[in-house]
Amino acid sequence: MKSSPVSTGDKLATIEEFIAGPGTYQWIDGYIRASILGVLQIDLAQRVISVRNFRSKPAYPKPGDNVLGVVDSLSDDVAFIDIFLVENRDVKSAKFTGVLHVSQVSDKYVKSLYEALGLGDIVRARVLSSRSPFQLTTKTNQYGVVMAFCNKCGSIMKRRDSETLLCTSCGSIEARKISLKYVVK
Amino acid sequence: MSSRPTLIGENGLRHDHRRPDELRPIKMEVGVLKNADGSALVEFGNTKVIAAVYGPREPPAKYMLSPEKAIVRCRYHMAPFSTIERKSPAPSRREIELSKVIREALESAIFTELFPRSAIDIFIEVLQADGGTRTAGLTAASLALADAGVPMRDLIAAVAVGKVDGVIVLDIDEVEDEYGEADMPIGIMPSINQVVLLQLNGVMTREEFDIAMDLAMKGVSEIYRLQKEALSKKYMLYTEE
Repeated sequence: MKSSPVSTGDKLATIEEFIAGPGTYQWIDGYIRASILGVLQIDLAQRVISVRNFRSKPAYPKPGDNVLGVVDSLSDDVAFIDIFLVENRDVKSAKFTGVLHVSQVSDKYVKSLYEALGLGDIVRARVLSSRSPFQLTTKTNQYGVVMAFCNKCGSIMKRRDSETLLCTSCGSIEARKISLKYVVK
Repeated sequence: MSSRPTLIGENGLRHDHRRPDELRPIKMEVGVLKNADGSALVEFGNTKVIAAVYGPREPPAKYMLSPEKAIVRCRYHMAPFSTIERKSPAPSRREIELSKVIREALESAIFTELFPRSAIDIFIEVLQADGGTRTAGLTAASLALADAGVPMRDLIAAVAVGKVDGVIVLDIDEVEDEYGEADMPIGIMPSINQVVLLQLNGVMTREEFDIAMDLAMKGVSEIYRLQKEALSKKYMLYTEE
């Protein structure tokens, strides 16, 4: 691997030499050119040439990205999440729609999403698909609800154990798919 | 109406002492707006244009989105204070047309298929108008897109050539546009040699058109160099951090 800065439109290699990776494109003149500003990366083992962005832009999520979002609508089998942050991106004002299916909520069997999420909860999830609306998953303990509000009184809920939350003002106990990153311990 | 100024003097120089093949002093700066994902400020002499790019993002109205590619939305607008006489801030017929031609020029450069069901919003605001605002706007918009990290085939460098007093000149300004015989804005992707915008207002012979095109190519390569310089200046800041 070697690296040097390149600019949009720069000639990188001929199409016989390398495979055009991310941040590059093939043009009809037989050259691979850069499509973004960034650092040139040549993988001699795979014969792939690519350009890595100087800045982590744009915010458009990719499969594998971690996102934060608010539960916007909820039913037994599917929830819509308003993504407001894509982790490790310079852009702070992302706004995309994510879809979380009941089968992707947890490694354990979940009968209804009402057992795992609440309306208005803030969820940390991983992106599965490459286009909007983004398919999300909250499987594994890193993902799930990071902040929840009581269904009865609307107060912020405290983590009780790995599967339930306790309301700080009315004492109600609710079940959630809780992330390890839950903010109120 | 004032009398017609002398556009080409006896020494062969233009009314602002430029040679026919000389650009106005150009200034470019990238990343001038904090809130935008990408932004640029471009000055061609007294013409001053700012461009802001947002996205790719999901717009509130989803009915217009395409399932295959990002849609590009472009607004070219002149500030009320940009001209000597106050310009109404409402979009005029001219501004709507320029928004369209600039959008089509940018669409041919952006890899829109990488961002399905999203929109890329481009705002071009003319702060001060002295001829060549659409070409300055297009130059600024392509810099702002590069700053926003949007994948493109190439940067777009644009310049207006024209005919004044029978002489083909590069980078015409307001006076030359008003009293000259022809005005031809050209937008080019220099690395891959593609014309993305070409308009002609006025009359030119075939030979004059060829000379104008050659002149535009010369101007564009200089503008392209300045664009890359402006971007690398911003990049240097990032490597130092």
